[in-house]
Amino acid sequence: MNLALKIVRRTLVAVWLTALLAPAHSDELEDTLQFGNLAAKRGLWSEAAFRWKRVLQLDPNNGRALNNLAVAYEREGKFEEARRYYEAALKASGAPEVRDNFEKFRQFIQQRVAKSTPQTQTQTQTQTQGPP
Amino acid sequence: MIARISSVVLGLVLLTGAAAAGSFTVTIETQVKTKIEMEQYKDILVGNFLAGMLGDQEDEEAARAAAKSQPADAEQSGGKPAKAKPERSSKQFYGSLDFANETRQYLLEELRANTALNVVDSDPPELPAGGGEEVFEDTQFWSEAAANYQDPLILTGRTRVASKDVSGFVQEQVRDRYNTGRELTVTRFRKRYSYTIQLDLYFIDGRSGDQVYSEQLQNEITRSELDDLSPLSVFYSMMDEIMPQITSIVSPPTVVLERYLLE
Repeated sequence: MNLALKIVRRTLVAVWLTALLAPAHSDELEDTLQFGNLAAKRGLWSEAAFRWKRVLQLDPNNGRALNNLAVAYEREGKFEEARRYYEAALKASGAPEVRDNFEKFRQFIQQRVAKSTPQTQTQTQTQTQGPP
Repeated sequence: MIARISSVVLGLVLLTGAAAAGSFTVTIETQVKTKIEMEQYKDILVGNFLAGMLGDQEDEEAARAAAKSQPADAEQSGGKPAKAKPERSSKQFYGSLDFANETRQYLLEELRANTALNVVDSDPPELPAGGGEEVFEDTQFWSEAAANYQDPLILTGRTRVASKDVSGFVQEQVRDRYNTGRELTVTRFRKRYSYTIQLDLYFIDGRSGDQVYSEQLQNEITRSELDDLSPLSVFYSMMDEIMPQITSIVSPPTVVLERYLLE
């Protein structure tokens, strides 16, 4: 019983210490990240990118900010930057959404951007209509 | 010790919570680079096109080869032609439709409607009479021709079309005649035609007369004979499908993508 009380008391102390010793910027980081997300939801992508960059100043390996910034760069057509940030996000976060984003990004680049080099191309498409 | 373990556990719980934070999908619109660097061009001149039937070159070669061996073949086959005439040739279907002019008019209207380029509104230079594809590599011809049009980007090329009978037996799913809701697979004969267009596009720099980009686009559609199509409607159907690819050569296409943002 005595031991149980000790454990509870020490756990509480641990919680208090963790809260106290947690980095002072964690709240700011979280708020900034969410502010960026809100801005992106409203179509304010420059503002969103600015916020996510701020998150990365506080925590350079923040997988969420790295992923979100990669999306912002992809939207801007800055595909090299997008790739760099997706790759960093993959290292920093194992979230399936990041893998999914990166896979779609790679496919998109292969299909569309790779074709943009000026040279002779041949493309064919086939379409059928009416009874098979 | 217990405090340390507890703090580690709590830290892990907090980290897991952060990692498991949600995500939401956003739709982004991004622009892909044009296939030609367009900074230097504001004007585009849609030049004249060459036109013909797909397979004409092969047919001509086959005809020449047949002409050479005709005496021997004629003796062997008793004077009868070696090749059976197709039921409806491409030439019979397309008749006298002026594909060269139709292609040019179509491209003029579409480029004017779907790009920010200034489409030059004057008659293009006449292609040399009887000339072949070598004209598209004649830098002197194009640079001289373009001098009258403020050195625009020139789009020219060759259009070839074909149609062929692809009728045959096909399997179809039908409801049974007693209307029991069952689906049956039946084999039926269907009369169908396949139509093909092949566009060889050449983009030429008006200043130098050099080709800056070329691309071959091909499209094939299949229609039932019940559709009762005119050659012009077939041409427009095929062009409508490949036009976005042509536009994307000179005007950055906007692509809509879906991505996850992490919360």
